[in-house]
Parts: sequence; C-alpha cells; structure tokens
Amino acid sequence: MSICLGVTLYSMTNEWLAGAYTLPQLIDEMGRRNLGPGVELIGFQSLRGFPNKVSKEDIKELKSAIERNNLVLTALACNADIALKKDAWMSTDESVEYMRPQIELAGELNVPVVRIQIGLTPEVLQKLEPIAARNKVKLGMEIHAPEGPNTPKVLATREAYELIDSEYLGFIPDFSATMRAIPLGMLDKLRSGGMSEAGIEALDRAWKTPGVPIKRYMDFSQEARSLGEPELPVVQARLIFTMFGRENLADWEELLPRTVHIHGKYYDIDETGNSPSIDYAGLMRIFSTTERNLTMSSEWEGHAYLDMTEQDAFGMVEKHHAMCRRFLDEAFASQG
Amino acid sequence: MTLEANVLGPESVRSTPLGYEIDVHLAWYRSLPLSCVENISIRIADKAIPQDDIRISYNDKQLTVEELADLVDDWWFVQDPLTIQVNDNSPLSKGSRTSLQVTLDTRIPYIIIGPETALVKRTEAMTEVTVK
Repeated sequence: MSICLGVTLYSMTNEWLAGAYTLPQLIDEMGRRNLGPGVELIGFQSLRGFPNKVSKEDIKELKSAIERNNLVLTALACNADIALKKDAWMSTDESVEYMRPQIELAGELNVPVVRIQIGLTPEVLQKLEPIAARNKVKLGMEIHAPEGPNTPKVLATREAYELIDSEYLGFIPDFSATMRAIPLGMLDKLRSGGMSEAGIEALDRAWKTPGVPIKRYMDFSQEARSLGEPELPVVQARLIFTMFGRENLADWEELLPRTVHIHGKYYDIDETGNSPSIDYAGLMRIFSTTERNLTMSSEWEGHAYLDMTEQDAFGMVEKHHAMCRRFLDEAFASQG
Repeated sequence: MTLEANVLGPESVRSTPLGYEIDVHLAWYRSLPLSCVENISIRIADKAIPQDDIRISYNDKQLTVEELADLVDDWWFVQDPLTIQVNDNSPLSKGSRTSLQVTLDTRIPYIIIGPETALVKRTEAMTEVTVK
C-alpha cells in the first residue's frame, strides 16, 4: 500500500527546550518547510498540563495550527510512567487509569495512533483495549532499542496481542532497534571528552558483539579501564548500548501485519544522502511491502549529543524525507 | 551533552534578602512530576549549600526535596524553570561573578533498568553566573 511521511516534534527537542518556539510556531515552521503532512507529538513534551489539564485554548491553537498548514496529526506519544512514586509502583488498575486520560485526549484530538511503551503488561493492555476502541485510537507499542521484534518482552506482547486479537492493538517499530553502526557524531563527542582511538575501537567491538547490552557495556568498561581511558566518556558510552540496538533488521517483516505507525529514527545522513548508522535501503524494502496505509515520523535524535548551534533539526528532517522518498520509490518500483 | 547544557542559564541566579534564588531547568526532553526529583545539590561561591538551606518554590509553597516525593500530580513543565531558594547568611552582592554548580537526580519513571529499579539520571551542571 503506502507510507505517508511526517515528523515527530521530538526531532526539534533542542529548539523546544531552548524556548525558541511555541507549539503553534513550531508547527508553522514545519508547514513552511514542507516537512509534513504527518505530525506526531509527545504529550508530556509539547502540551502543558498533559493529559488532564491541557487548556481549551491550547487545544484550539494546536488544531488550528495543524489545519492552516494542511498537516495532519498522526500519533500522540504517551508514557506509562509506572515508577511515578519511588517506592510504590503502579498496579494494573493504576496503570489503566494513568493511560485512560492520555488515550481520551488522543480521541478528542482525532489522532489515530497512541504510542505506548513496553512497560505495559498484557493485563494492562487487555483493560486498555476497550478504552482505545471507544475512542477510535489504535495503541502502538513502540519497539525501541535495546528491544527488538523478537526480544522476550516484545514476544510476550505479541502473544498477548494474538489472544486479545483486536485491530486497536499494534506496534510502532523504531529503527533504533536494528542499527548497523554507532553514529559518528556520538563517537566524536566521546573523542572530545578524551577517549582515545584504542578506546573507540574497544567500544565499537563491544557494541558489535552479540549479547545482553549491560554485559557488553561492562566488558567494554573493563577494557577501557585497562587502557587508562578517562572516566566521563566511558560512563557516557553506557547509553550507546541501550540507545543503539543490534537486533536483526529482517525480523521487522514479522511485525508488518500489526504495524500501526513507524518511527523513522535516524542520527546522521552523509553527503551521498545515506544514513551510515541505519540501513534505510533495507528498511524501506521491508516496510514498502506493507498491506496497510502507514504513517512514518522522521525522528532525528542527534540532539542527544549535538547542540542546537551544531545542527539544524529542520534541515535534518528535510534530508531524511529526501532519503526515504528515494528508497521508497526504488522499493515500490522493484515490486512493479 | 545538550540536556545538561540547558539546565543553567547565564542569568539564573538572583540575590534575595535571605540569600539567592536560582532557576533550574529540567535535564530531560519531557515534563516530569515533582515526585521524580530525588536530589538537588547546589554549590555556589565555593560553598556547598546544606540541604536544610534549600527550598523549592512551587505554587506559593516552599518545599524541601524530601517533600517532593509524594507530589505525583504536580508537574515540572519541560520549558519552565524550577525556582530554588537558597538560604545563605553571607551571600555575594548583586553584580558579582561566581561559579554555580547544580547536581540534579531525576527518576525517569518509564525507563526500567532492572527488577524494581527505574533509571535515575544524574545531571551535573556548572556555569559562571552574574548575581542579578
């Protein structure tokens, strides 16, 4: 069928945190630079008072900004937040009540998909399904590094989905799960923090070794210590093992029938218009075989290590759209 | 890294009759409730401020860090600063330049890293400021 492009406003996190834009201004800039038509937002990032106390005025302004730019809301990213209280995590019923207003707000905004997270158990999903159905919102569990299509937590959810068997329960593949290289910008940050080339080489080797992320990191940090690497970049390198996943890219194919939206995660696009750290040609080949009309948000996460002055997020989204269009055209053409 | 760079601005410290008022931004990409703030430590003008002299201003209340633990419905919006009152008997005068260091521990309530263990993100922000 088809894949409709768009952007998650999470890509503009640096600009948002700096207070450089209000929400309507950010959407106007998206429209002006033709980065739509899809717009995804994170409730707890973009909306003051989310989910219970968002003002009517803010909702009105959001809707009117979307409308005047000929854009469409594709997904609302929600959070499970089960550890809101340090010593008393949410029970099944508390989790349901925490998610309920988030799903209801998505319904009010006519957003077709709510991003949910892996912390939600099969019991919670079972109780959320009727709420989603009532609000005509599909719940998409994001599969994000270090998880992948076939890691134990995702397999448990896949089984629960089979049992509940509802069109309102699905997945949102996030391409961070299946990366082929550590982004060069991240490595440059570690170099500037004092990591030597031998340290970078040890890091790359540990990252490419199969196994549990925390174990691979511990192996690396031990080697880094023996190499005499400074502590700070070694500590910072820990997130490489959880942010950048090494799961098998071809496994996404199994999830296609239950995919409700896509997170086009990326960090870097080189001068040839390709992403060195993520195999977009391979990904677009797989996802172009979908039998649904899917939406995909460009999700640039280079702001994890680059300042606003170092990289313009809007420009990165333009490059990402050009790359995805090229690979999608090729993939659809090869299917005849 | 960039989330850290956002925590303290060059004009984040104001002089008050009791000491200082400091604006601190969240080192995360989204809003969190105050219950997720586990620790705030401050060092200013080469002095580590004791916890007893730190209060968080929120909705006209002055709260200790311990009192934040139950505030699951009170949100620190990601674009807003949290204002912290610091008691200091001998504060620097307005216009003084000094170094400011803030350590912020926030629990990320949906990133579960082990059995009954959520990620606690430690952010250490340091900058040179002029007391306003």
